[in-house]
Amino acid sequence: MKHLLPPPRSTSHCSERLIEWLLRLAALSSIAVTLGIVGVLLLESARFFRTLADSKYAPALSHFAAQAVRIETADEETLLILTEPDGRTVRLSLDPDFARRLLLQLAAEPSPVLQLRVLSTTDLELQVDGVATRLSFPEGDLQPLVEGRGSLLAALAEFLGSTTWTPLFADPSFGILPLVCATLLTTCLALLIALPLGSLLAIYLSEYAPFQLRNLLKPLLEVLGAVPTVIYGYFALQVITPLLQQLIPGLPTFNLLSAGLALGLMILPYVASLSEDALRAVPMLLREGSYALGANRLITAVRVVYPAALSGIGAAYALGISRALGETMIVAIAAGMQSRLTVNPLDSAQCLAGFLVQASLGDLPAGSIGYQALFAVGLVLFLLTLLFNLAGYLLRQRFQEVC
Amino acid sequence: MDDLTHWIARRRRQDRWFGLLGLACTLLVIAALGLLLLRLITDTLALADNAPKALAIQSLQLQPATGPRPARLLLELDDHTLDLALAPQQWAVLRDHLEKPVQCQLRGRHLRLSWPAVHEPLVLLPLDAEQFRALTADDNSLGRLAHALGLFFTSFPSGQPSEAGILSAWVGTLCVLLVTAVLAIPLGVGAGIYLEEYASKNWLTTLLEINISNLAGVPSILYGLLALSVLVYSLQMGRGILTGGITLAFLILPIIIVATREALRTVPKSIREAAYALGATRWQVVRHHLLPYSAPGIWTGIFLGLSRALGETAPLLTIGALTFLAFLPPAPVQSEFPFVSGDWLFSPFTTLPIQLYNWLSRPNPAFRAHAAAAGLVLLLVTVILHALALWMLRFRKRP
Repeated sequence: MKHLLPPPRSTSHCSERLIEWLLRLAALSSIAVTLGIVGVLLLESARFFRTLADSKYAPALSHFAAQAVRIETADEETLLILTEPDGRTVRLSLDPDFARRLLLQLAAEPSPVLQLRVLSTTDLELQVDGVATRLSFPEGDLQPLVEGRGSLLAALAEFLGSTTWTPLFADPSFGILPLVCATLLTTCLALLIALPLGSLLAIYLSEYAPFQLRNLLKPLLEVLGAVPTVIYGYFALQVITPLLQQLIPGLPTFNLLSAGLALGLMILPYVASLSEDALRAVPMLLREGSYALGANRLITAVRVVYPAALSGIGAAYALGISRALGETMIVAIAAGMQSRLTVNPLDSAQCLAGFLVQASLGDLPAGSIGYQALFAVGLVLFLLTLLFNLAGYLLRQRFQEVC
Repeated sequence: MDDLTHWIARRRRQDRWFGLLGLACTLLVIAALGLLLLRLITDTLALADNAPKALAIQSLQLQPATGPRPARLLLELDDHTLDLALAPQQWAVLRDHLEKPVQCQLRGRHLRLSWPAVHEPLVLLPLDAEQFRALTADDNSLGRLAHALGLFFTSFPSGQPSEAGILSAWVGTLCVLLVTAVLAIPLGVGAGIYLEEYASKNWLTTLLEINISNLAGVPSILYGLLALSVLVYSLQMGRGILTGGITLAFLILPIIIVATREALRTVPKSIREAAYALGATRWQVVRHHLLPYSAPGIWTGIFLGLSRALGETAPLLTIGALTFLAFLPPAPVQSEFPFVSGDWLFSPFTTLPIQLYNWLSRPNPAFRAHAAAAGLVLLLVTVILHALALWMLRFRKRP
C-alpha cells in the first residue's frame, strides 16, 4: 500500500504553513487597527487630563519672595536660582536670548524687583518690576517647585461639567457638554427624518413595490448612500439652508437644523437599505400564513413581517445612529464653528466632529494641550459610536439566529 | 354580507393608500437626489462666467482726471467701446505702458490688461453687469463652458477664481487611491480568506468578527487621529501621499474583508470537497477554486471600498493634507540611476474632496462654482465605481 501514497512534499507543506501565517497576519492587522485607535485615544486623552490637571488644578503652587530669586551667569549659561523656604535651591537654565535681554534690563535698574509664580509643571511667570514674562521649561525641571500634581478628578469634572469649550483661547476651558449637546441634537434631527422615512421606504420596497421598480430603486438607494459626505455638506449649505432661510427668516447661514436634515438624508438610504434586507429575509411562510388568514398587505407588513424582522431593523437603526454621530464633513461645513451650549436647532453650534476638523486645520503642535484635546474629543466620539455599533452587532447576530 | 364587502373595500383602500404613501416617500428621496444634481449642474455652469476670454483691442485712449471726475480709459474693441474709470495708480501704469503691445483678457467680471513685453504690471478693471453682458452676449456658451472645464482640469488652485482648477487635486486623489489599493486589497482579501477558510471557531475568531463589524462603524475621522499620532508623529512618516494612502487603507479594510467573506460563502461546498478529495492542499483549493469562483464578489467589495476612500475627507484633513497646493508630486521615474524614485510617496498632497471643502469654506462666492464642479466630478467617479461594482456582480456564478 505504501507505494500508492504520493511522496511527502515537505516544501509544499512549508509554504502552506507560511501562507496560513501570512493570512492570519492579515486578519490580525484589523485587530491592530482597532487596538491602535483605542490605544492612541486612551493614551493621548490620559495625557490631556494630566496636562489639564497640572496646568489648572495643581494645588499650592509655590510662590517666591523677592529675596529668594537670583540670577547668575556662569560659563556662558545664565541660571535662575530659586531658594525655597526650607533652604533647598533649584537651578534652572534660561534661554540665552531671553537671558541677555533680562540681564540688560536688570543692569539698567538700580534695585530690580523680581517675582516668580509657578503656573504649571512646565511654565513659570517671571515678573521684573511688574512686567510679566512666561517662561517654558522641559517637563520635569520644575517638578521640585510644584507641591504635588494637579487633581485629575478636578480636570475630569471640568471636562464633563463645564459648559464652555474654548480650547484655543489664551485662558482655555474644556467643557465637552456644548459639543456633545450639538452632536446629539443634529443626530436626533437626522433620526426624525431617517427613521420614519427609512422604515416606510423599506416596507414599500420589500412588500409593495413591483419587482422591476425595486430592481431600479435598490441600486439608486445604494448610489445615494455612496455620495461622498462632503457633497452632502455642499447640499446642506447651498440648497437646504437657503430654502430654510425663506421659511424661517433670520436663520443664520450655519445652523444645526440644516446640518441635521442633510445628515438625515445621508443616513436615510443606509437605514432603508439595511431594513429592507432584514424585511426580505423574513421567511415567505409567515407572509403566506398571514394572507391565508385574510390579512391585507398592510396588516401583513406591519403586524407580521415588521415584528419578525425587528431585531434586524433595530440593527439598521443602530448603525444609522452611529453613522450620524460620527459623520464629520456635513457638520463641519453646515453647523458652524463656534461652540455653544444650545438646544435650539436654529442656532449655529460646533459638534464633536466639527471641532476635530477645525483643530486639525489649525495644525496644532504635537504635545500641546490643544493637540491632546483632539484625542479626548475623539475618545468621546468613539465611545458614543461604540455603544451603537455593539448594539447593532448584537441585534444583527440575534436576527441571523432567528432567520 | 354587506359588512363583509365594506370591510374588504376598506382594507383594499387602506392598502392602496399605504402603497401611495410609500411611492410618495420614494419620490421624495428621488426629488432630493434630483435637487442635489440640479444644483450641482447649475452651479457648475457658472464656471463658464469665470473662464478667461481674449479680446482684441483696436485702440486705447487715456483721459486724465479732471477735477472730481476720475481718470478714464476708452477702449475700442472689435465691436464694442468701453468707458472705464481708473484708479490713480492704474492710470500711472497705463500711461507708462501706453506705447507697448497690450493683451486684453476678460477674467470673470474683470478686464485684465497685461503687457507681455514687460512681465510685471497688470491692471484689473471691474466691469459692471451691462458691460459684462455686452462683452459675452454673442458667445457660444457651450464652447465657453468646454473651455472653462478644460482649464478647470489642468490648472492648480489659485486665489483668482478665473485661474483655479483641480489639477493637483485629481493627481493627488489618484496617487492616494493607488497606495490605498496596493495596501488594502492584499490585506483585506487575505483577512477574509483566513476568517472564512482557515480559522477554526474559537474566541479569537469571535473577537475578530466583533472587531471587524465595529471597525466598519468607527467614525472615519478617528482613523485620521490614529494616523496623525502613530504615522505622522511617532513613525515620522510626514504628511505625504503614503500616510494618506495607509490611512484610507485602514478605513476600507473592513469593507473588503466583509465582501470577501460574503463572496467566499457563496461558493458551493461541493467545489471545496471535490478539490480536497483530489488531494489539493488548502491553499491550492483557495487559489485554484475559491478565488476564481468568488472573484466577481471580491471585486465588487474592492470597488465599493475604493469609492468610499475616494470620497473621504475628514481623515485626510486630520493628518494634515494641504488644502491649497500648487505643485504636483515628483514623477515616479527619473533619468538617472535607479530610474524609479519613491519621492512622490512623501510629497504633500491634496485630494478632490479636500479641494471641494476648501472652496466651500471660502467667503468668495465665485468659488462656489468650482466647488460644484469638483463635486460633480467626484459624484461622477463615485457613481462609475459603483456601477463597476454592480456590473461585476453580473459575472457571479450561481450555484
